[in-house]
Order: sequence, then C-alpha cells, then structure tokens
Amino acid sequence: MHALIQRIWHGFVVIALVATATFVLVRLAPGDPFAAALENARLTPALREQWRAAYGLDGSIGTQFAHWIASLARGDLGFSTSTNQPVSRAIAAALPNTLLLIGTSIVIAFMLGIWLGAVQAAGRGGIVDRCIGAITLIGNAVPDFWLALVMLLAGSYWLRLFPVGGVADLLLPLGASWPVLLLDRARHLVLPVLTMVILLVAPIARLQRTALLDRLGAEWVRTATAKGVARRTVFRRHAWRTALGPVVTMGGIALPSLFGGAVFIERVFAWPGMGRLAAEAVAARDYHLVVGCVLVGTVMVVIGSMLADHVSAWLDPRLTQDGFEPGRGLA
Amino acid sequence: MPNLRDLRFLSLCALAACGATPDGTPAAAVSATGGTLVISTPAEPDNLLPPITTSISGRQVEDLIFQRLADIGASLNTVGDAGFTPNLATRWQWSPDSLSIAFTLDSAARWHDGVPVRAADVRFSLALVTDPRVASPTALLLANVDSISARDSLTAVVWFKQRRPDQFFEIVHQLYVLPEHLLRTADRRRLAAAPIAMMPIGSGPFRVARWVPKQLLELVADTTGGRRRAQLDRVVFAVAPDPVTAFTRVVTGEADLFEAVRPDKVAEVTSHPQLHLVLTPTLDYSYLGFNLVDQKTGRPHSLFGDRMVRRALTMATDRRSIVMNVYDSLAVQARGPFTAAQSTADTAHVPLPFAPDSANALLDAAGWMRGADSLRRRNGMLLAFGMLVPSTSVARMRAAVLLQEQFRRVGADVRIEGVDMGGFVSRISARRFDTMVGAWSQDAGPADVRAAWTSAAATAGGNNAGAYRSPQFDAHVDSGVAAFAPTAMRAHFAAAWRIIADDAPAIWLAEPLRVMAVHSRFVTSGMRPDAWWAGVAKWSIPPDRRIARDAPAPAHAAALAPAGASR
Amino acid sequence: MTATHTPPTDALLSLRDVRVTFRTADGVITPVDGVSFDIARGETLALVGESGCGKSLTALTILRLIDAPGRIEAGSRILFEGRDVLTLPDKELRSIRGRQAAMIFQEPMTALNPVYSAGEQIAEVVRTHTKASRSEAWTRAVAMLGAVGISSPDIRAKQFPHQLSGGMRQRVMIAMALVLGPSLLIADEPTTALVVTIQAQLLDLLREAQQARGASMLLITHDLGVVAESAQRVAVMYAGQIVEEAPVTALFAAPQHPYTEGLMAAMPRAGSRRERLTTIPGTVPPPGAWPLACRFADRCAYAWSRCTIEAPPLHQLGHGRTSRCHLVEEPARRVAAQATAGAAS
Repeated sequence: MHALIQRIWHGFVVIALVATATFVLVRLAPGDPFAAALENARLTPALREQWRAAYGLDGSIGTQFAHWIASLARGDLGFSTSTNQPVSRAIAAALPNTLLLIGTSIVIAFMLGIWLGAVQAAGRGGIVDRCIGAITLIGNAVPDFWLALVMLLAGSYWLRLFPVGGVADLLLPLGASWPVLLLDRARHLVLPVLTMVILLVAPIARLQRTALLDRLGAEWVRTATAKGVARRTVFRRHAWRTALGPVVTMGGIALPSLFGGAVFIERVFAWPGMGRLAAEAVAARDYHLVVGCVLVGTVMVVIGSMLADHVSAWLDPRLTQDGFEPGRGLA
Repeated sequence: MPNLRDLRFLSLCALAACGATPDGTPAAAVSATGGTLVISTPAEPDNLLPPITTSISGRQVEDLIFQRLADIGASLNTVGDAGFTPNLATRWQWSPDSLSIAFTLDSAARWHDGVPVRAADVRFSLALVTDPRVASPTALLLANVDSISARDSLTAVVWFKQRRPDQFFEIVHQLYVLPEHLLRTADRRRLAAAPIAMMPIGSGPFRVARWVPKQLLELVADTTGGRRRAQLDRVVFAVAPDPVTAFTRVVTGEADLFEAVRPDKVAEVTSHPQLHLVLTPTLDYSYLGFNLVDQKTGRPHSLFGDRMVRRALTMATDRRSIVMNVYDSLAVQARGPFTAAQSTADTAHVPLPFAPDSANALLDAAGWMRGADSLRRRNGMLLAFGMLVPSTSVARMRAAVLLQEQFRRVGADVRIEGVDMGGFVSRISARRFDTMVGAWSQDAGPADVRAAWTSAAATAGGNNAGAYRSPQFDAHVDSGVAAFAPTAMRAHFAAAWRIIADDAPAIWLAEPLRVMAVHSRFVTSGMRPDAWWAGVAKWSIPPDRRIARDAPAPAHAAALAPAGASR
Repeated sequence: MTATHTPPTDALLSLRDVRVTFRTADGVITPVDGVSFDIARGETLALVGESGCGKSLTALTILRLIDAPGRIEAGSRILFEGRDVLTLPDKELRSIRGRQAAMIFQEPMTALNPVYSAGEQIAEVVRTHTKASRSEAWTRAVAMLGAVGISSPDIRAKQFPHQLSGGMRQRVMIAMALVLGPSLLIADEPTTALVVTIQAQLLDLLREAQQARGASMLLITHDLGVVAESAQRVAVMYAGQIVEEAPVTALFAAPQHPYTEGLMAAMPRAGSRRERLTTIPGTVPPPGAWPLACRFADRCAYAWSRCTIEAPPLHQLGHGRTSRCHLVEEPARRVAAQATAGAAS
C-alpha cells in the first residue's frame, strides 16, 4: 500500500514538473496566439495587446502561472484561443478518438508482434523466420509520415476501399441504423490502425524473437525437458512465458512516443485526436490548450507506465512492486 | 437558356418549396434546388463573428451566413456605387452633399431565428465593430464612417465624415449586419468566448446547422419565413489538416471542391473527367522584401539602405523563370505591389528588367568588388544577408532557393532562414530580418496598398516591415484614393507604381492564379478575384447530374425547416 | 589384457562406448570419448573428475538432453531397464524423463523457472506424467516439499525461487526429481553451489530418499569428500575418458591410475602438517587439444616413452576395478618411480 502511494506521489511530481516546464517553454516560443492568424492581418500591436489582456496573456510569466494554478485548483484548464472553447471541452472531444486509435493499435500490435516473434524463434533460421525478419526490418526503417501517406493513398485512392481519413462519415443520414454507423466507424479505423500497427509490430516482434531465443537456451528450459514435459509445452510455458517481460517493459517505455508519434498519423488521416489537437495548438500558440494537452498526456503516460509495471511484475515475480529482490544468498 | 417548360417546372417547384412543411413534399425531391457542396479544406475558421474573425476560412463562411448591405461586382469597381448590387438593402438614396446615404432594407429579411432584420441591427453592427473594447481590426477600415441612425425600422442612414470615392464601398463591404437582439448582452471584451461566436445567427442565404470542431462545418439553405435564396441544400466544409489528404478527398469523390491545387497536381485533376480545373485571378502577390532600416541602430541598412544595391539585386533576378519554375503556368509575374485584377492596376507598367550585366555593373559602381571566391566585398564586409521564409509555404521556400542561386551568380551570399508561420510573423513585426519572402493578400479596395507600403505603415506595428518611405509615393497613393474620376485614379496609381518600382524596396515575384478543382456537376457563378465563394448561393446542380449525397434524406428535410419553427 | 564390458543382465543403466561430438568453428571436438559404465539397481556410482573432463555431458546423454551443435554419435549405446534410450521414439523417451529417471541440476537458481512457484513446478511433473487434477498435483507437491525437509511447505510452495534460499531451492529440485519415485537419479554436482553444512544435509537427504525407494543414483562431482560419503562405486574421468573405476573403499585405499593418485594427494586433510597442497603439475587439456596416446602422459609422474606412443586401453583388474594405464602391464616402473620420489622428499 505504501508503495502504491509512493508511486502515485512520484507520478504527481512528474506531472507537475512537465506541466510547469511546458507552461514556460510554450510562452518562450516567438509569436503569440494572435500573430499566427492572417500573416497580413490588420492587427496592430495595440489591438493585439488588448486581445492578450482579454485572455489573461499579458503580465509576466509568473503572474500568468499563478492565475493558471488558481484556475486549475477550480478544475478549470483555461480557454483555448484557437478553438474558441474551454480547454477541457476541446480535450474531452479529442481524447476518446486518440484512445480508440492508440488502444486498438497497441492491442493488435502487441498480440501480433508477440506471436510473430514467437513464430520466428520457434523456426529460427528457417524461411519463415527470415521472411518475417525482412518485413520487420522494413517496418523499423520506414518513416511514420511517409508510411501514413502511402497507406492513405493506397487504401483510399488506389484501391478505393476505405474513406480518405476522418473518424466517421458525418454526412450519414441522422436516422441511420447502428450497424451502419458501426461499420462506418470501423472502415475509418482500418487505415490509421494498420499504419500504427505496422510501425509498432516491428520492434515488438524483433524484441520478442531475441528474448525468446535467449530464453530457449536457459537452464530451466533444460530442466523442464528433463522432467519429460512435451516440447511445445516447454516452449510455451518455460521459454515464451519468461520472454514476455522485456516486451512489456519496452511497451511501458515506449508509451510517451506512442502518444507523440500519433501526431503524424492523426494529421494525415484527419483524425481529430490529442496529437493533432496539441500540434495545431502549438502552431497557433494556443498556450492554455498546449499545456492542457501536455498535462492530460502526461497523466495518461504515468498511468500507462504504472499499468505496464504491474503487468511486468505479474509476468516476472522477481520484479515486485517494492523493487527487485535478489535471492537471499547461499545460506 | 432555360425553355418555357423548364420555367414552368421551376415555378411549380418554387411554389411547392414556399409551402414546404418539415415532412417534405414529393415535388421538392426533384426541384431545381437541391444538392450538397462539400468543400475540402485544411483550414478551419477561428470563429464566426465578423468583428473578430481573422481567418480566411472564417470569412468564407461569414459571407454565406451574413449579409452586407450591398455586394461588389467582379470588376471590383470601388468608386461610387455603380459597381454594386443590392443585398440586404434593396435601394439607397444619397444625400445631395454625399455625406450620408439612406439604405432601405429588405422587408422580407429575417434572421435565422425568425426575427425580422431592422435598421437598428445595422446601427448596432457599426457600434459593435467600432467599440474599442472589441478591439476589432475592421474598425480601422471604417474610419470614414461617422455613425448610423435608424430613420425608421427599415431605413438606416449612414453618416460619413468626408466625401470620398470609396465611401460607399467602405460601409457596404466592410460591415456585416449582425443581430442586435442576440449580441446586445455579450461580453465585448471576450466576444470570442460567447457561444454565438461558434453557432452564429445571421440573415444570409445559409445558416449554420452544425460545427463539429476539427472535422466538419455544415451550412444548410435558410428557409426562414418561407423564403429560400440558395439553390443548394447544403454547403459542407470538410476539414483535413494535411493538404494531400484534403486534395485526395476531392479526387476520390468524397468532396467536391479543393481551392488550392498545387502545380504538380494539375495533371491529376485534368485526368479525372468528373473534375473541372477552375482558374481565377486573385488579389495575392508574393515578393522579396528588403529591410531598408537596420533594426538595431535605426540607421539605414548597411546593404539595403542603398537604392543601387536594391535595383542591382532586382535586375539580377530572372523573375519570369522563377515564377515559371515554382508555379508552372499557374501564375504571372507580379509587376509591382498590385495585381491585374484590381481597379488600380496598371497593365502597361514595365518592371525593372532582368539584366545581370547591368546588375553587376551597378554593384561594381557601388563599390562591391568580387573576390577570389567570386563573392563581393566592400570595405572588408561581405555582400551576405539572410532571407527569412515561412517554412510552411512550399512555393515560397522554392522561390527562396531559386533567388539564392541567382544572387550567388552576381556575387551575393544568401543564408535561407526557414521558420514556422508564428515565428515568421513575430520576426517580421519585430523587424528582425534582412530580406523576407512575403505575400500580401489584398482587400478589394484601392486603399489597401497604404497598409503595406506607405510611410504611415512603416512605424512599429504597421505592415510596411521594410520601412520604405517615399513622400512622393504616399502623395500619389493618397491622390489616387481620393480621385473620383477613374482616369485620374489610374494615372495617380500608375505614377505611384513607377516611383516604387524605381526605388525597388522589394522584388515583386508572382501573382498566383487560384487553381481549384471542382466537381463537374456544379454550375458555378459569381466568382470574384477576392472571393471565389461569393456566388455560392447561386451555384446549382442540374437534377440529372445529382449523386447520392445530393438527395435530401428525411432528416435533412427537417434541418431545412426554419430554425425557430419548432419553438 | 583388455576386454569390453559385457552388460550384466540386471544392471539398471548401461553405457557402452558413448561418444559425444561438438561441431565448432575450429572443427569437430569429442568431449565424451568412449565412456562405458554400469549402474546396478540400488547402487550409487560417483563419476569424478575436474571441470572440463566431460562428466556433466555424459550425464546429459542418458536422457538425451544433448542439443545441437552437439550430438551423440552412432555406435553409442545407452541401455536403461534393458531398452536402448538412443533409439526410443519421442513419446517413450518423455515418459522416462522425470518419471523413471530424473535429473537434479547443479545451479538451482537458474535451473528453476523464475516465474512459476516452487509448488507449480513440482506439480508440473506430476501432471505431465499422471492424470492427476490440479489440486491433487498440488497436494502431492506440498507433501513432497515436506518430505525433503522444508518447513511450512504449504507456504513455501507458493513462493518463487528467488524468495527461497539456495539450500531450499535445491531441496525443491530434489523434490521435483523424487516426486514420481524414479528408479534412477542423476545428480549433476547437486551440492557444489552450497555451503558445506547444507551440503551434508542434502547429501543425507538424497541418500535416505534413494535407499527408501531402492533407487540407483549417478552422482557427478569433483569433490572426493562427497564421493567417500555417498557412493558405493567410483569412476574417474579424465579428458573425455574413464581412467579408473573401483569400489569406493578400494579406490581410497589404493588408487591405481596416476591421475587418481594425484587427486587423492591433492585433497586437503585435517591434521595434515603440510603447508602446501600438492597439485598435479600442468593443466587439463581442452577437448580440441587432447594429446595423442595417453592423455595424461604430460602430467604423469610415471610416464615413459611408451605413454606418448601407445594409447593405453582400459585394463580389467578384477574385483570390479579397471585402470587405463600402461603401469598395469609394467608395475615395476611404479615401484621405481615411487622410490625415487621417496628419496627426494
């Protein structure tokens, strides 16, 4: 219990530090929310000052920070100048879309990656191993943005199988039945998820393969064989089961980049998620929205890491919540 | 030419539409009105309240949902009222001294919630825009308007401070009429935060049905009071932040219109038979601006304070080939700070020629001698400078690279600095640049050039970032703006363009055409150089060319009912 | 006189001419080079040698646990309960492993799966070979843990290997090996990684368990003290070959092979007043670099020219003793060398 409280406290400290750093950094970037408008806007500096004052963006960074903390305590994340709504509303609209995209992609990518890695390790050196290995090599090397564009064009333009981006067809008649709506949602989900999965599967499969090959040479595998356990069961219970740990740990470490990397995918597929929201907010110098997005993103990363740690500990009891406990000597 | 049978058919449908109830009549399904226009765009409006809207996409929507007193014609004649057609005002009456105009409003005009439009709304709209608490950039453009009074419920009298050729244009074009009964109580300091800024009520031919942020903005034809002014049922703005995605939507048929086709995509558009390539002139031009003042010392810039150097560098650039290279045939060379489509253009104006020999001679004469590395130096200082470019603009980045190469040939060393738009704007306003590749999108009126190139705009905060000051240029511009006779106006502006071309505070580069991809089933009309969307209310789709999404579903028939009908 | 062993019909385990080769980057090596021995029912045979002599590999061959790039060469024969292990189909081999013959490995920290509890790993053996349910297997596992001397076995059974001490882990391994009552135990250095006091306890445990069930044991060790405690017969291995075999007391009383002599002499004895331990000069040659002829010749105090020309066969000496040494045929040289050594000290 004590350990849990400590974890939560650490998470809180991390979130506070990141939010504060973002708060300062975004205001240091040149420009302000009202400069990114029309380049030749007839917005004189006097007018711009007035607008800044109206949104609480005048005053020193210290005063602004104090105001922000005060409103945060009330549960108010501020007003977004680029989307003209409270920051919390903008995030509440975008967050489910990101969770849908990333959640689906993570689940599929991990299942697929672990399975591929296991298949590779089981048939090590064979033709299957090499084929899968070539594919994962490509998956590792391909740049996200390019892959997203290619997938979009291939799926929606060359093959005309899927819609061109977006999260749903908003022009569907309002009375459409729920199977139609569900199918529409699913069709929109395919290309972005496929893109993310390809990018995620490669490192997962490679890591799983390496970890598994390493475990196959472990002593306890030989013990299991010596006990008369069938080969398949030895592979599954003794090699593969102990090789999952590194993969999950890697997943936990890669969480932040997952949220960040989705920015490109969300942009290309016009997916109204957190990545796009944050990126466009930065470009528009929408300070409150940027900090709000970072705050929410950090919270999710912290929670995700804690989850990953729990799963890791369950997979490998040597990594308990209280920290690593080495075997107690030879006594 | 519609034949008699069509006219009878149309009038039948019009009658049926007038009496249309929410459950719809079968006749309405085959009427001449109807259809959905899906505009695929990377941008989204910031808000939909004209006094504080700064985005072009916001203007596009506002032109469809709000009304002006009168509309300017495609020739953009801003002198007097001859070039205008009635809109909210059905007729107007000048006073003998031309210091006031009485506008008679359309008695059938209704706000989208059913409330009639009154002269008090016009009076209120001016008061709101010019209220210092709102801090609207448009207020400056209404400087010549003194006030508006409501003589009676349907007559609004506009009082001017001075008699000027563009006074009619000023009040009619810059003022959108807004509903007083809905905006009266809004917090003027933070108008953008009011809910009505995102779901506005106007009196225009379309009204906002819904706005799903970052995804879609849907307008439906307004039928308040049984009056329908739009041919199409719906105009939908579908947002996709990546231009490739936005363009692909049109090519696959998910959308109908894309307004910024890149030169390398033109062939793709023409290869699809269901798409039309529409080219219209614009009021945009791009240029390489010199900074004439050293921002740190306030003294003339060490390189560009010298007119000879500026002229030399201008003559060193083959502008035609740059334009050709960047835009293919989709732009013409800009000859000065004006575009061919505007009324103050001088089509006979000849810019400085492309003459590298003269350029070299001028630089030699100015004391810039070539060194062993073929770069020029004077008093130990290298002819080297920075070129600030917004990295988000592909065309400008390309132009910058070409300029860099051409400058190198005459011995100048250029360092390209690509910054994102926010950073670009901030450095320009801080005047921290040597040269910059800028673009100017002009207003329809003649006075707009003041905001970019006159001495008044050279002060801190103005848009004359290079601080070009020429009293002669200012005088000719002022005279041109004040001239009532078109010939006198053109003569003054021609003189002004000559002066500024001689002084070469910038190298004028390109006037890009607007290249649009439009689905062929649309019958378009009313495109203006400053607003291709101006005539969208009159766009139509012949009944035999309609596709699936043009058919009104039962739910949309409900959406077409007047907004206040259910209350 | 040389003669190959003929398999006594009542031996539980017979190895004949077992040869294991490994393909390496530098060629083929033969770490186990023609090993033969028998183990009778209820008997403990200790297989002694320094590290690198091939004794662990020999143990692994019995249950066919040698993996690529190693292989058991044709011509080897391993008879268990009269059946040739090397030609058994997979299913039958698996039924032997863990049930009729069980192995106990040296390093229990790595030989036990870290993510399963002790009880689960013992239960796994039970469920692999019997139709017991999960709860039945668990009960048997807990009972076995108690039988090997672990207190609070129901709690310990739920713990993971890293939560147990080294001694307890080895008890778990022993429990795993004994739970189905095998007739042959193969213990590969079972106590090497443990402290001396625990060593003694575990050896006692093994011996008791073995005697209670009438099981045989192949005990691999490099520690002659362990041999004296636990085994009835000893086989000494050097450089992939058996160099001497004898009943325990006979071996300790009068070792025949010079290598065995050297091992004995090197053992530290309590009460001895020598300041330095005697060592055998030179080092054990690696499997790829075995000398031709007698492999011990370059380190042997008695070696003469014949030893580097002719490889000595395994001589039968009667009373169950063998020796792979030319001294068997020329005992006079031994006496002469000892006299010289005696004169020098």
